[in-house]
Amino acid sequence: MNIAISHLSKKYGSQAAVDDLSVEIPAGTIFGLLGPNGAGKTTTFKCMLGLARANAGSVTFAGKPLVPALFEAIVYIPERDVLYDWMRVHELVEMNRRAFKRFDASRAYDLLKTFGIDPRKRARSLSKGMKTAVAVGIAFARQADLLVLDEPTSGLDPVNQRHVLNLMVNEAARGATVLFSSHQIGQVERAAERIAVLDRGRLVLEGAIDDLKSGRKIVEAIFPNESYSLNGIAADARVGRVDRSGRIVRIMVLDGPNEIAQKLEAAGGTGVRIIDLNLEDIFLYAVAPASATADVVEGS
Amino acid sequence: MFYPEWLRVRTTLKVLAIVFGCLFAIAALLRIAFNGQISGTYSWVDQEMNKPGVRVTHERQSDGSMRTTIDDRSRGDHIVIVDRGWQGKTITITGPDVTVSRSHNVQIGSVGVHATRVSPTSNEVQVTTDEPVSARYLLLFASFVALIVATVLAGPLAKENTNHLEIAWTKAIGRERMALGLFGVDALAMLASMALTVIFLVLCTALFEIPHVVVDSATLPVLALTVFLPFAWYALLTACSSSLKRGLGAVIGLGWLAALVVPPIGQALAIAGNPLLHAAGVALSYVSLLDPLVYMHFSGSAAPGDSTATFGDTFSLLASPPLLRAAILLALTVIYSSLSLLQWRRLEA
Repeated sequence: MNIAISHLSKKYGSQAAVDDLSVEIPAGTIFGLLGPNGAGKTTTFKCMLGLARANAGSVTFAGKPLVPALFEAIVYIPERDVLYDWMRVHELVEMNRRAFKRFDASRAYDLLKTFGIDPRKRARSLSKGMKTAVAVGIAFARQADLLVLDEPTSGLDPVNQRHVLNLMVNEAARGATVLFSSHQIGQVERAAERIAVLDRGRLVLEGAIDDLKSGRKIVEAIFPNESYSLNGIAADARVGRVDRSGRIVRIMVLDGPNEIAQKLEAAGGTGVRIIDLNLEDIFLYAVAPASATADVVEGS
Repeated sequence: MFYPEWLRVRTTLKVLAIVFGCLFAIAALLRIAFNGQISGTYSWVDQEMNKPGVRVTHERQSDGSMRTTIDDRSRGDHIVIVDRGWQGKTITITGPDVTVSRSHNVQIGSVGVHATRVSPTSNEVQVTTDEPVSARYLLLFASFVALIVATVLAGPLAKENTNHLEIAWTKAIGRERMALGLFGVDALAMLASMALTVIFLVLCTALFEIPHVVVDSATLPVLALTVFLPFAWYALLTACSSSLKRGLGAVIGLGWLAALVVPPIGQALAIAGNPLLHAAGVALSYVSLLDPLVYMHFSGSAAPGDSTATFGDTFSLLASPPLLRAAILLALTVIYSSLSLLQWRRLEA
């Protein structure tokens, strides 16, 4: 199920939580939504699913607007714990079995067993991580066409985090579309094929991770002391960002990393090396303003 | 789709059944403990038998009942006890010492006391324990229990709004149908609680005698009244709480307080001499028309001297026949439910 978000906007008072967001999520992909706290990820999910009213824009699922019947094929795991805490886990499973035709209760119990959850326990007696595990176990038993997962590994231990990522990959392999958000960029890099980065409600970067990485490199150098000049390197059109931390400088280059490395050596830098870009670099490039940290300088 | 609500209902009805079960057990124990006093001849009959000049006879009737006659010639008293076992007793006391007053013509449950003057020097009091009991008394009690159940279940939308909208609204059903479904489940629970109460009352009665419940033409309007009262009360509390994320308990508590306090205060102030107090009283009395509880009384029309009549002089709705009051309660149910739906549609998770 592909999703098309078009010019979506949502305001709370005068504050724009989502600002003119347009993005397409192809069917069968794992799509990661990244952004700092308050970027609008959860609001985007809520507007998509009709849980919050958008001020403008539209969302279509396989070309059709959202109608209640579509929820037979859509799973949503919210960021916060919304389980009925007075219910037992097996009652939560039963609730889903009654509500959704495709729900596979035996798979849910298998997943809960994998996560080490006792179905007889009341939800209120579970830790935050275990509650997340219950929500995940039930969600992945829905056999949905679209999974919208807001921080699906929140509170889970590393083993179960890995397990959730594997489940997401399996769902995509089955043909389902997985849209998820996470603060853990390593997880997104491991699971997602495409990402979108939101910052203060606006889309600042979007594309396939491989495409975003290709051609982009980090060139790193060390200078003898903290007062050094980059001799105009920062003004080079191929330079995307310059981060300075004491005697160390890291330059993200969009093209021609070898030439930038030579320029750094000419400026007095030593130990110059070219490093492959990771998703964290891409994310920081997209969202961290130059003024956010004292040791980060755009150009010089 | 409404599984959490079914679970809430199941728990509530389970608690109700346990309470009724305990009360029935207590009633059964009392029945066993006082079996002699209830089923045997009365101790005062034995005392009468030992008095000089008193003649006591026992006679088995053709219908199986035991007829005991006590003649106290010295005092001129004549007592006849017809004991029909589980079908009840009739005790008729005739004599010059028997006093007759208005209070002797009363009925409490299945026990009736009827006093009549049979001659200038002799009166008669007849006590019967198998008087037919109007179903409306059972329904009144059942309605009270359903009110409690309605209070427990009220505010289902607020309960979802507290922390579960993401679950409730991502089911394959529209918001309105979801809300109406929740209301429907709770309405069934209220009806079930009424049925449980009636069964409990009948069983308790059966411990002592064969229940003799009369359903007549007046029962249907009262049935409607007693059914729609908890519905309207539930709808009112739900309408007052549907937008709330927390504080449902406070709304329910204040709701009861206001429903019980505002009408009498309004009524008291409305007859005050002070124009300001009178105006306030009339205003409060109008407000209290929104309170479903004020429509619950058995008087078909206002009788002189009846407190309802005083209120009804100004607010004839309250003194209207049961069927009309039931219709008003139904209308209130629809209005309050609609208000809840409007709020529910506007909510955001």
